[in-house]
Amino acid sequence: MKKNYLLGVFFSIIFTALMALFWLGLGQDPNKLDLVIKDSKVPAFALPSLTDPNHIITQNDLKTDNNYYLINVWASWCPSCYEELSYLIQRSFTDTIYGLNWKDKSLNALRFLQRGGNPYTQIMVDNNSDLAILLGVYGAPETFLIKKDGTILYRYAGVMNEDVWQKEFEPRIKELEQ
Amino acid sequence: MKYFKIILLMFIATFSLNTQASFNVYDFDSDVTKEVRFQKLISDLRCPKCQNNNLADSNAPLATDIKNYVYKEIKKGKTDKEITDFLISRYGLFIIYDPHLIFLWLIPFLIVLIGIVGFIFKKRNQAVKKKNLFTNDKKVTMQDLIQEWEQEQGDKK
Repeated sequence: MKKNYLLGVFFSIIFTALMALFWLGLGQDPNKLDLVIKDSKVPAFALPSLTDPNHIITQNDLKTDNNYYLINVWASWCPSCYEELSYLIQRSFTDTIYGLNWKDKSLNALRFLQRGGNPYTQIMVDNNSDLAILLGVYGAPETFLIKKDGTILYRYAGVMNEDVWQKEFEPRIKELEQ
Repeated sequence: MKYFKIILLMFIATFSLNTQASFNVYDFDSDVTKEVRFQKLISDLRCPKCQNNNLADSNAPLATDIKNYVYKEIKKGKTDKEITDFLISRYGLFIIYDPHLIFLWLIPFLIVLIGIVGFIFKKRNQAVKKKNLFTNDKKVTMQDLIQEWEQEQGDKK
């Protein structure tokens, strides 16, 4: 009958739509947050340096000779930051990396760098999440890709390694060079 | 009796945990409206770290810092909207538990509507069929009914 045929079409459309919705929705990682401040400038901040607590670092101190620099959010309480450190040291030969030492004890943080090396040009100490909230940080480690003029391009939440660098960072940096 | 005591002990243990979790003190100098606003805000805002908790329930260090932020801003005299707008500008709509899609709220009503329309159509069709069956001049026999049924089966195939 014609009516049954229409009903069949109707339900298969609904079924397909639902499947598509679930397929797209369930594939997403619910723990990953979007970078809301993308394309805006690094917010104004004034935080003490880890290596020299009397020295205050502001957004104007973030400089680089390249087209871009990185801000890496880390802490000594974060297990995967240890894993990440050796890769960052390798990166620091060519890139400018600023560290944001987030909710950490300075003594532990310094010990962390003493053991694994220091890939950072400067390290800001953020114990009360002042800059972290402004950047929308929700976990450590996180790595921000920032244009020389301070425009925030991208944030990767998770452990940085060669795979991530090639997949997520390199194409964006190539775009800058054009 | 032994088991009763153990169960009682378990209850006491969990209850004391509960009081410990809500221990943080935010002093509003006995300004009750601000205090109420604060409590409402931190129970309405979601913790970005542990996403199944609101800020009030979360023990994550980040949640504590955002609570402190909300506290400071309320003390400064900022409105609720200014505070949530700021947090949305940093963490997204995610943080207010509201995807801002009105259409999601309409789906249940839409389904009910489809159901009602379908039901009316079905009732009407049945009524028409019945009418056709009995208003014919000739007597309806069992044979006719069987024939009609067979025809329907044929249609379906």
